[in-house]
Amino acid sequence: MRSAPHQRAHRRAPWLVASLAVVLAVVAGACGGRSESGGGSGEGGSSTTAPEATQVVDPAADCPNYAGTTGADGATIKIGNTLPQSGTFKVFEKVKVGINAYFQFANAGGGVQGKQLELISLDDAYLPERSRANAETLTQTDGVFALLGNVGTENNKQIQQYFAETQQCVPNLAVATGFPGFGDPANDPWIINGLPNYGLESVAFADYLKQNKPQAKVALLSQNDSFGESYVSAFKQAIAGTEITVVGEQTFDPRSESNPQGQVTSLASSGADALLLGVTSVPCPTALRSIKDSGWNPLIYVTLTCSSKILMDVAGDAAEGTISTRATYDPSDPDSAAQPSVQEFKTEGAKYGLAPEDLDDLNVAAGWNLGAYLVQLLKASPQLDRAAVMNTAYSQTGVTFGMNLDGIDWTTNGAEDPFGYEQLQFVTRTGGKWVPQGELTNYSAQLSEQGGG
Amino acid sequence: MQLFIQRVFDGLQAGVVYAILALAIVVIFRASGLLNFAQGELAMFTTFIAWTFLDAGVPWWAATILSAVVGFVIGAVLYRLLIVRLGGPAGNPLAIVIVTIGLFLILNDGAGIIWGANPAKVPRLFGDGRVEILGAGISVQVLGLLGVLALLVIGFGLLFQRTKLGLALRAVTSNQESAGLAGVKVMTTLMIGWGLASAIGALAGTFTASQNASVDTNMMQIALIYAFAAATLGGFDSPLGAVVGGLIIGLVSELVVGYVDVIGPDLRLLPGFVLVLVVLLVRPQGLFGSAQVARA
Repeated sequence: MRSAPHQRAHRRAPWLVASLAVVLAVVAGACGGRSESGGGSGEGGSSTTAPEATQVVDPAADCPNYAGTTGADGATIKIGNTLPQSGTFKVFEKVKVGINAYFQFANAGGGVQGKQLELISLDDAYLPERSRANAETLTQTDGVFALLGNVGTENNKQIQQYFAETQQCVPNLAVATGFPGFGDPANDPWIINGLPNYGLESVAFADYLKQNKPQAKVALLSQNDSFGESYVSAFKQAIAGTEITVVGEQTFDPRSESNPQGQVTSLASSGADALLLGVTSVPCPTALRSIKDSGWNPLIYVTLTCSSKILMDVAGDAAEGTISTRATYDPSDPDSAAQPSVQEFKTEGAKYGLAPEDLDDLNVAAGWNLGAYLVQLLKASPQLDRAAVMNTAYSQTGVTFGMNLDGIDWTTNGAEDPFGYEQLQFVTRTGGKWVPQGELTNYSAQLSEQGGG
Repeated sequence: MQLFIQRVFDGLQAGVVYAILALAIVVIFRASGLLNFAQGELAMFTTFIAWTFLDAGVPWWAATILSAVVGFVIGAVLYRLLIVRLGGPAGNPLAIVIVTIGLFLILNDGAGIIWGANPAKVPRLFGDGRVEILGAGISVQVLGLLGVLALLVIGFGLLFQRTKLGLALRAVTSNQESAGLAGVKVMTTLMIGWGLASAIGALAGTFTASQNASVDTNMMQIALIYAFAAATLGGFDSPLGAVVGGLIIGLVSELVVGYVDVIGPDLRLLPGFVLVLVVLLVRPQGLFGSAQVARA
């Protein structure tokens, strides 16, 4: 008789500590890979880009092992994608669902140049190093023609770096992040933005304050990654020289806390009367709930990525009165139901595999839009060649596709104008839905004041 | 001063969730001498079950209690079907710990497959009310959860110390063979222990969901790390220690992050774990744990 409970506890201590370490490692896996900044050298041309800017890519000069038609020389055009299908940011899995539905829709209409589109999507759990591994699998094993709609700033940075290191010239199209660094074709012409530039949103919010609250005292609450930093740095640049001041600044790490109550307390005590909430996914409605609990009542800007029906439903009345921007119609909004592009999404989407709840999901709609972007781009490209597609992507004028708002004309022009979206519509959360405020506004001038954002 | 009180309230709000999850960890430890790393995911899973009841029109309170009942059954069945086959705690504890880590992943993905990737809204158990104390605000929700927590600690204290079941649980943990020889139904007792822990875990899940006003598949992962810290701090065999430990970890994290600029939110995990380390150096058994006595 030798094992009293305390002895037992004592005896177990070493494995107890070891297994705690294992679990910490499993959970903290999400912390890994906050990659260094800097856009990677890319394979791209240098500052000698022609002023015409239709030729951002010259494979003969830039790609030693150029294989321009890989993945598109058979009966199908293989498109790769990596995004979180598990983990904290699993909500973005729905982007894949939307892309897939659009591909089926396009295939039923004859595909692109007689070829059917095929999507191969892999799970990266939002871990940048897994995105990199997925990019390797997609290009080396699956032999895709291009990547489309990859989610996450750090994730796409890793993919960019992988392509640079291995000297592969593979288009990374319409990345599902608005990180301003992905609109820099002089540095890397093989990647192009698919969402409104995050900086554009900050510029729009600053512009809104200049007009409506010119002496605003602003608090900034942002995710401690390049997503959050993009909003914060662009906002500070945009308010330079105005009477708007930043009175409080807090960051939030979604991997080590689930509720930013403490940050909210700090910011509330700063006396701020406006708040830029640079947070996305589930932590965004949680933050709104904390703010409402705290009794603090600032004018809140929530990011476009947080304005989806699902996250807003979770926030409920805590989102009432917040403002945001949009570049596309929201299929869950009854006021948009009459738009032909929304009707096409609803009827064709339902026909090609979207469940009823998908038809209300902004992430599905975003995927649908990315699919629509790709199809018009491939059709516009003179041939199904990687360099030709990239050159086309950086020289499009006044293109309309998917569920973009009426009046949005997607225009790019090489390094001079790398961002497709330049206009945003302000919206206010009123009575549980987003109500447009004012007119669609073009912010490209303010954005270029910041050196392209 | 008002800011300080507000931060104390924020700390309690965070700590109440760590405390109840730590309580579940401690109950399993007391009942079977094991740690269940799937405790948090089990709690998430039962919270989705509670949400399913809610979605079907059951009031949130009733759904919470029902999910605790379902949690009890899941815990007991897991023990009977899985843990026993691995030889139980007396057999191969390391294998069981690894299995619980496997369960962690299975439950997380399983919940995603069943309920989807999107978060769902849930109401608050005690409503959205708020009480002002010395200029700082604390939500009725947090006060209510603190009350429930106090009842649970008293309940489990009485269970372990004053009931035959509690005696059996302690006897089985102490020495299964002797307990069996003395007439304790070892298997049943351990099933009850696992069931109770999972039921508390279910409450931890619905508490967390109520706090965030939403349920999602990853809601318990961060809380689990803090809960392990809380259980270590309070002592792995003390229900009261788990609760006090949870509240202390919540308070320390909030106050240090709030007042020490160098730490800041990016290093939020640090203060709690430094405290655990310091306490373990001085009192290896934790604040309320039983001291280790070896028989000569």
